[in-house]
This record gives sequence, C-alpha cells and structure tokens, in this order.
Amino acid sequence: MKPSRLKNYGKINRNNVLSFTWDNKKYKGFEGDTLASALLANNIGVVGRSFKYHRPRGIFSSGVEESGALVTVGLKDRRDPNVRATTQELYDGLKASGQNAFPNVNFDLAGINNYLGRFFASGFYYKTFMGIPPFEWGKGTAIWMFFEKFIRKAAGMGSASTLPDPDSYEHAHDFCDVIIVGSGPSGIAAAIEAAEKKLDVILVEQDSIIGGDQLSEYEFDSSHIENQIKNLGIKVMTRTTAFGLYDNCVVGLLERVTDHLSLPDKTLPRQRFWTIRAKHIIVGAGAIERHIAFNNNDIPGVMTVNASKHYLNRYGVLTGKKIVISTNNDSVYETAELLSEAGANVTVLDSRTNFEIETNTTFEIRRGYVPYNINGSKKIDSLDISKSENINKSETINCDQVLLSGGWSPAVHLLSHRGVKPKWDYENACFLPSDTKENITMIGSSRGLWNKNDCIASGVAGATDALNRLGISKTNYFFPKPGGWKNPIKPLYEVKYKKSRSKSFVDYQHDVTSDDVRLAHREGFISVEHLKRYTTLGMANDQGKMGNIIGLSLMADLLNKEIPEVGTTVFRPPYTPVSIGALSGRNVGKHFRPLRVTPMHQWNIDHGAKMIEVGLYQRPWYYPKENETLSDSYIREATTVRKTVGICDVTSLGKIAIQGQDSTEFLNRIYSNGFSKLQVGKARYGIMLRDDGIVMDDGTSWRLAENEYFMTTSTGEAAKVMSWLEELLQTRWTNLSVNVTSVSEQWAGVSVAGPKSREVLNNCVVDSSVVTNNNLPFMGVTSTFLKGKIPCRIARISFSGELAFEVYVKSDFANTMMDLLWENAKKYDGCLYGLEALGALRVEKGHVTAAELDGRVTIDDAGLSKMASTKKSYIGSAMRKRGVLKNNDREVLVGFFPANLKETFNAGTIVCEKNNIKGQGIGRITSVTYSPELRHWIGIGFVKGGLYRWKDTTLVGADPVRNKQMNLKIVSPHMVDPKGEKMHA
Amino acid sequence: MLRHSALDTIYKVGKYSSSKKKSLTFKELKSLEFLQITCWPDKIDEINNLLIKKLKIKNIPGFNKGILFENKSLWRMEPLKWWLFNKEIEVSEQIATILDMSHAFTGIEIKGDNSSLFLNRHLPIDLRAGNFPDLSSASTAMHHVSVKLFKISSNNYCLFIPRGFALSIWEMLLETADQFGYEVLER
Repeated sequence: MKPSRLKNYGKINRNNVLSFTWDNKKYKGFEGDTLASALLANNIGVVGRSFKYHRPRGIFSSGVEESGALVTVGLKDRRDPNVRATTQELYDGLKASGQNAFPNVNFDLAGINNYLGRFFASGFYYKTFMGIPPFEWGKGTAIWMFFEKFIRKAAGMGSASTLPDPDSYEHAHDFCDVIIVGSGPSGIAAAIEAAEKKLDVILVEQDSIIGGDQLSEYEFDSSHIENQIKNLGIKVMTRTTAFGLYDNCVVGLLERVTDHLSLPDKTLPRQRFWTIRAKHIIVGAGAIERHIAFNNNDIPGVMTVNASKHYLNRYGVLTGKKIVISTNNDSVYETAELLSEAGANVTVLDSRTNFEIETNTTFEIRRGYVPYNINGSKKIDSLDISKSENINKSETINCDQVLLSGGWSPAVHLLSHRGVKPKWDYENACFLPSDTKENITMIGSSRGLWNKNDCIASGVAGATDALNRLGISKTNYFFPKPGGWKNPIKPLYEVKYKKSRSKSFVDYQHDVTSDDVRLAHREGFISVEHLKRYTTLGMANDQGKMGNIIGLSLMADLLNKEIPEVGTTVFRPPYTPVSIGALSGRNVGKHFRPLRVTPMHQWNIDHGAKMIEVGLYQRPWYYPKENETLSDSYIREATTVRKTVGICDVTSLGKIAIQGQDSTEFLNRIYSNGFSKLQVGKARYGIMLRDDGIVMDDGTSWRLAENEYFMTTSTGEAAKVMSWLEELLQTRWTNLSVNVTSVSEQWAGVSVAGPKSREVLNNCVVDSSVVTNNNLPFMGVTSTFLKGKIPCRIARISFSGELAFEVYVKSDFANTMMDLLWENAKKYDGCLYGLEALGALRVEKGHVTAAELDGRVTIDDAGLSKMASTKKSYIGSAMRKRGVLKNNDREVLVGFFPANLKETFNAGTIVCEKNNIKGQGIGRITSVTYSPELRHWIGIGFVKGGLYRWKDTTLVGADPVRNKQMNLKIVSPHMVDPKGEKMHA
Repeated sequence: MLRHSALDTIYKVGKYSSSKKKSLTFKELKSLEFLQITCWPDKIDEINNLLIKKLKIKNIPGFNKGILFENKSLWRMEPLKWWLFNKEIEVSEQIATILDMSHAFTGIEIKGDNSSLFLNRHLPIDLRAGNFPDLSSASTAMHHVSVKLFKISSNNYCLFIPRGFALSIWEMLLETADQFGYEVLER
C-alpha cells in the first residue's frame, strides 16, 4: 500500500506544516490531520501489534471505533497509552509510538505467538495455568497468581506512566433545554430547529469540527453552518464526547481541552469532565460501519469503506492505489466512485447478485463475489475471492488495499445506557433503537437512516418531538422509515473457506476470531453475556462497536436461531474511555479531601505545632521543642499540665445550639441521664444511646438560659449527632418547639488545664471574680469577657482530670484569645499541648473516646451505669435492658498495666487467659500511652466480666500483628486521681 | 475588636494570570455580621409581619430569595429560616429563635463576566437567569462542603463557605479561576 497525499483534496491547512515523531523517526503532517491520517500520508502501514497474537495491525477506521491503531502518545509523565490514532489530532512536536511490541511494531519478537495461535484459543490461560496439564501440577489460585503476571505482561496493551500526572483536570456543570449529541446532518438540523423555537440548545461533537459524516464530502465546508449556529445562540462543544446517559436526562461528557495543543496554556486543564442536566436529549451519534470476518481480515491495509472516504476528502489521503471493496450493501458505491475519480483502481465485490446501481465512473463490479483470504503479512499482496454461493478458491486479485462494508450498526450505545434494549431490524440487518418514555430522541443514522435528506428530516422531527414532550408545542411530525438504500442489504458476517484453518477476526482489539466463537459454543457459553466474557468479545475501549454483530450472528447461526433470539449485550458507559484524571478533577493531592482547619490553625503552626489529620480536621498533634521526638514532646506536655498549666485547641469538638421552649425536655429524651433539673449556668456530661441501647456519643451540654443550651459532641461524631437530632425533631417529636443549629464553625475553643489554670484565666478575664471556685464551681458555666472586650463562654470542665476550663470565643477572635492565654500561661511555665498529650492525660483518667465507644459498647460496658436514669424514658432506654446487653460475660472497661512495668504494649492487643491464647481472647486494649504520672505504660480497654473477675489474675496480651506477647495486670481504668480531687480543687 | 479572617494567611490582593483579561474578581466580605432567624412552623404570619414592621420593608422574600435594603439584606434560606445581614433584631421566643452566625462562614464576593461559568466549574446549580434570577439563593455543595450562594445581580455572586473549610475551598477556587484571569480585591 502506498497512500499518497492528493493536491486538491482535503480540509487540512497545508500552510501549516507540523512535525511529529513516530517510533523516534521524524515525519511531517498538516494542521487538521489526525495522527492516523498523517501516518497514512507518510506511508506507515503497521502501527500496532495485536493483543494476543501480536499480529501486525494497521488503521481500520477513521473514528472512535478504531481497534487496530492503538498507540502511545507522549513521553515520561505525559505518556498516554492506548490512544486511538484516528482521533488524536496532530500537533507540532507530537511524539507517538507503537505499543505491545518488542523491539517495535515492525519487528516484534512476540510475533511468534501468531504461529502458536492454535494453542491460544479462548480460555487457554485459565485452562492451562490453573493446574498445569497433564498432571494438573500446582492446581489452584497460587499457581495462577504466579503465572498471571507473565501472562499479563505478554498480553497487555500499552503501559501507563508510573510518574505523577503533571496535568490538571476539572469538573464542570451546565444546563440546557435540549442537548444534541452529534453534529452530523441530523444533529445540526435538530439544533437549528430547536434554537429557532427559542430553546436553550447545546450541540456536542466529539470531533474537532462540526459536520459529522459530512466531513467526508468533497464540497462540505463547516464554517457557514458554524456561523448560522452561532447566530442562533446555540452552544457548541467540540472535542467533547458524550460518554454516558444517566437518570433524569443527565449526560456525562469528556472535553479534551488541550490534548490537541503543542504548547498548552498552563492555566487550562487537560480535560474537563462535564455533567450536563438537560430537559431533553437528542442523540444523533451516527452509525458504525461493520467489517466482514474472513481469513487474515486484519492485515494492514484493511479498512472500512467509509474511513477511506474520510481520509480522501477530509485529509487528502488516497489510502490505496489498487483497491478492492467488499460489500453487501449500497453504501460503498459513492466511495468507489470517489476513489476511482481520485486515481485508484477500484474493484467492488458485492455479495449480492440482483441489484441496480447507477455510477458515473467506470470501475469493476463483481456481482455475487466475496473475499475469503488476504495474502500478505505486514501489507496486502493479494486477495483470494470466490463466488458467494459456493466458497471455493476461484481467483486471486492483486491489490494493496481491501475496504470492507458488511453493513452499518446505528450507535445505540447511549440509549442502551438507559436500559433500553435495541430491536433487530431484518430489513437493514442491524439493531435499531427502541422507543423510550424518557425524554430521549434518536435521530439520523443512529435510528437507521442511511441517506442525508432522511437524516435532516429526522433532525427536524427530533426537535419537534422534544418540543412536544416538553409541553411547548403540539405539532404533528413523523420520522422517516429506517433504511434508504435502493437495493436491500444481504446479510454477510463471515466468509468461511472450509479447506483451510483460518484466522478470521470478529473483534480486532482482543484477537477474537470466529473460531473462538465456535469454541465458546462447543463449550456451552452460548448466552451472549457468557460469550462476551469467555472470548472477551466487545470488551475494553472497543465496547463491541465493530465486532459485536458479527459475533452474535455466528452464535445465532450455531444455535440455529435468529440474531434477536440470541440477544445483545448491554452497552455500558463510558462510550469511549475516560481518564482517571478527569474523573478525579481537582480532587487530588492536598485537595483529595476538603481540608478543615480550626480558627487558630496558623497560630498553632506558628507556635511550633506538628499537625495531624483527625477526620477532615487538621489538629495540633504535639509541640516539640528543639530536637524533641513525639514521645519526648507529649510526655513533657502532659507532665506540664499536671504540674502547672497547659493550653489545648479543642475547636474540633462538635458544637450545637439548642434553642426553644422544649429544649430541656428534648435533652432529657436524648441523654440517658437527667437534664430536667440542670440549672442555668451549669453544664452536665451526658451520654446518648442509639435506639438499640448502644452508646452513640458523649459530650457536655451547657444551660446558657432557660431555653437555650450549648451542646458539645466528640469530634468524629459531630455531624452524625447533628443529623440525629434533626431527624428526631422532624420525624418523632414534631410537637417539640426546639431548633438545633450547628455552631461548630461559629465558636473556637481551648482547654486550659492544670493546677494553675484558674490563675491564668484570672489574668485573662475582665472580671476575675467570675472564675473563682465559688462563682465557677466544677461544671459551672459563665458568659463573660476576656481582656480586650472579647465575649467568651467559660465552663469548668475537665477531660484531663486536672482543674480545667473550656473557653470559647467567636471564631474570628480565636487568635487574640490564644495570644492572651499563652502570654499568661508562660508566666507559670505552662505549655501548649496537642492531641498526643491530651490522649495520655485522658487514658490516665480512664476517660473514653471513639476508640472505646466503637458501636459495640453499652453504657454499662463503659462503666457508666450510674448515668443511666431509672426515672425517665430516653432514646435506647428500653433496648439497653435486653438480656444480651446485661450479660455478666460482656466485656467491661478496665485499665491495663504490663505485669513487668518496663514492658510496653499497643492498642489492638488481644487479651487472653494464660493457657488459652487464641482467637478473640477475652478482651482487647483500645488505647495505650506512656503515663508521665505513673512512669510506665498503661492502657484502657475491655475484658469479659471486668475488673473484679480478673484483678488478681495475670492475663496475657497477644499482639500477633507485631509478633509481641506480654503479661498484663488488670486495674481500675481510673489510674490517676481516682477520686477526682484535682479537678474539684 | 480585631477580627481575624480564615483567609488572612493566604489572601493576597493583586491581579493574576497576567496574559489574560481579568474576567473575575474576588473580594472577601470583611467582618461579616448576620443573624439566623428560625421561626416555629405555626408562626410564619407573625414573623412575616414582624420583619416587615421592624425592618421597614414592603415584602418578605420568598423561599430561596432575598431583598436588599439600605446596606442590609434579608434572605429566606429555608422555609422557616432567614439570614438577616447587618441588622440587630429582637424577636419573642414564642415566634422564633435568633442565633448569631457571623463567625461561622467566610463570605466571598465573586464578580465578572465569567462568574457563572466559573461557579459552574464547582457548583451543580442552574445559574441561568431564568432559573436563578437576581436576589436568589441556593444551598449547595462545593468539594463535598455545604455552601450557600447568593446572586446579587447579573454576574455578581456571594459565596458563603463554612469557616473551617474556607482556606481549602479558596485555594481550589483560585486554581480554577486561573484560566479566566482574576483579581483579588482589597477587603
């Protein structure tokens, strides 16, 4: 094959010459070329190697259905594999290479597979490598996993870059009355009709310019249509593929923003992932020309007929000099004429005998003839043909190209995404779209219309259908009848020459042959879904665009059924591949999740905090001094708190405003302990249960006024508690006058803890009398002012077990508060402390957090039975009395010491009896720390029966993950100041 | 009293994307002041009358609508919930509850020819004039974070982001804005 660029053909810009490299060699093309057209123009025939047999492959098509010219574009971190050369626009400096070959696609060592092909039939890998014949050696998963990596390497396609993707991607949303997919004659007609009727229209085109199949017409010029569309206010999205339809007229689209640019603007994303919500969808996605299965039908030089027409009239490339066209329908004759006029020697083999065709150019038509074998390896040398009625070798034609047209398949994929099954049309030998009640209309050749005038008429009808369905008009309309050829198509899917073993390909991309379909039938995989999975027919980015119908027809033939009886597989999104980057959009790197910070985030960092992620929050972990490790730091911080004073950012706690006349009743119902007698100016620790009696969360509620509370929740459960309270008010207790509002962002909070905390606060508040023991006793609450007239709320609450206060100010005052508190804390040799020290302090006190309250623990398990009121009903009060939750054998909160105090242990350690170290044991350690106060490691967790059952027994801590084991003593969880004298000081 | 914004550390006034026309401007709303008014379901008429009287306005905005008066505004955010900006008000707790939310959100004014296009890079809201006219509001989500959007006039929006997420969302907004060309204005 020696393609050539013709002078007077094509819509390329010959004034703009582009350089590109293919397999490290430099070539030239023009603006407007695709990589495929430029390769063809440079006489490059072999552009890939096939998936399994590593057979040389050329360019089969000119569009998204391409399954031969899958290439790798770009280098290093921008290496993009499996790009269809037929849709990749050429740009200056483009670097492309063949893939799935070593050393290159022209000479591939793995080409040996082609000669061993008889061993590589469908199912070969699974049959062979899950137990090596003849003795089934190594049978099982292990041996498969051993071989799998070699098989994958041998059978793979291109390889993706392992480097981080340097490009950005983004998501976008849009809305319209009507979205029209496809800018062929029907799509343009629909868009104009809808826009003239004042609808808001978006026209989507996957190509770089509008026109669709009209771009293969010699005379077609899209510019005047573009002007008309622009004047009507139609939004045109080129280089954008509608890859999927979803519920409620939602369309998923991928816009290739810079993939065609040599030097892309760095501010632009590479691709944009659109979600467009329309009121009506019109699909004019066209139709895809099928090939015909026969021996060696994949030799480079084989192409669909329509593709050749596109290369001629759009790119000015004559794809062959001596061309044989094989067909069973009328659609090829215009192309044959054009190719002949362009200088090619054309012969048409038509499997039909009785038909009438009018042509202006002289080319040979062989009626009743079909091809059955191509001779050649990397290029076509000749074609063996035969009478279609009796397949025997009769003649060989010398040629350099074979163009195939086995009929057309309307692109019903998008409609199929909505679960609409296509219906088989015998007259046109193709699946046609079925009707749907959704606001989706199919137009043009995607509803089986083969001539341009019918397509235009269907576009107008489609727009009218949309107007009617949207209730804007009630206009009568009709769609032209499917078809449009003068002579009927004669189904032709495979030409089988029985005397020779053949490789007649049904699905080029996965090397699925007609013999593979027969093997699937023999082995019982006769359902189309089984056929697909057994042979891989129609998988990957091809998604059955070219080979599905042929595979189905073969199976139907084997089953003695008609194609509609065999059925078709469901096409799923995406229609064409969508990169992972586009799916992610901007949600990558540090924006993988939304980052949440407290108002004193920067203040904490400026004061030496090392931060840690807690859920979405960034919280201070520890504040190391010079050369301090995490351990050094938190031990120092916890020691300082016990000795003098420490300040800790506790803003991440959930905060909920509860307002209204029934607020007290509301709290009384949701907490297990009583709130009805809580006085204004007092706070109370409360526990919330779920309906099933298990602990949901704990926290404090401060009574600010008669009908107003300020509730705090744990950090991790804040959103859950807020939703729970809203649900209760909206569904169960609709008669309660209570409003709940999250004020987590409104208030910034710190804990000031330690024996000197009151003195620090004394120095910080305007009126120091408000924080005296009398005026602010344990669990007392006051609203006052910090110096600088900063309004604040202070509660005397302790998580550390020390004399402690929680101070809240409105968030924008947080930094001022921190400056003030820290300045005064320093006077007492105080410290800032982080989450690690906070953890150490609370473990010493046996205070529970989410590590303990893990959704399995009851109020009794947590040792908080006294907080379960017996005088009232509350959420979970009935279910907590179930027998299974009252069992004496339940795991109960305890403290743990290592028997040898020099030893350490970890959270997650399983607690076992000495002679029974197995399974889940009799308990678990949930939190551990080095106790600065006790000077050894301690832990809290749960053990069956609790402290009194095991207090005199040595148990074993088993930590199989870390291969550790230690003896344990069970102690009270309240390991420091068990009577709480410090916090009441 | 000096208020510290969530954006203080990264708010850099200036023009960006020098090669492009500046089609967007960003401005943080300084020292936001607003109250949330939540009325009881059977007190809608009372609260309407009370707001008309106390705010000296002619009509109460409909659901997801707002009104501007003097340098103040009132927005009906939910069927029973209003946001009142720059105005103190007292209401009987028999009719409604009032809550100061001034520090809970970071407000950003986004203006410019491409502001709708820009916002739709993040927000799944139909911002076309017919669907989202001037003085409309919406509760929506940006990067999984619940946000509120006000349309003041054509190509003039206010976005309210929960304060703790403002830093992160601001960075994402500017990343996206880069392609349009933008300017960050003095607060």
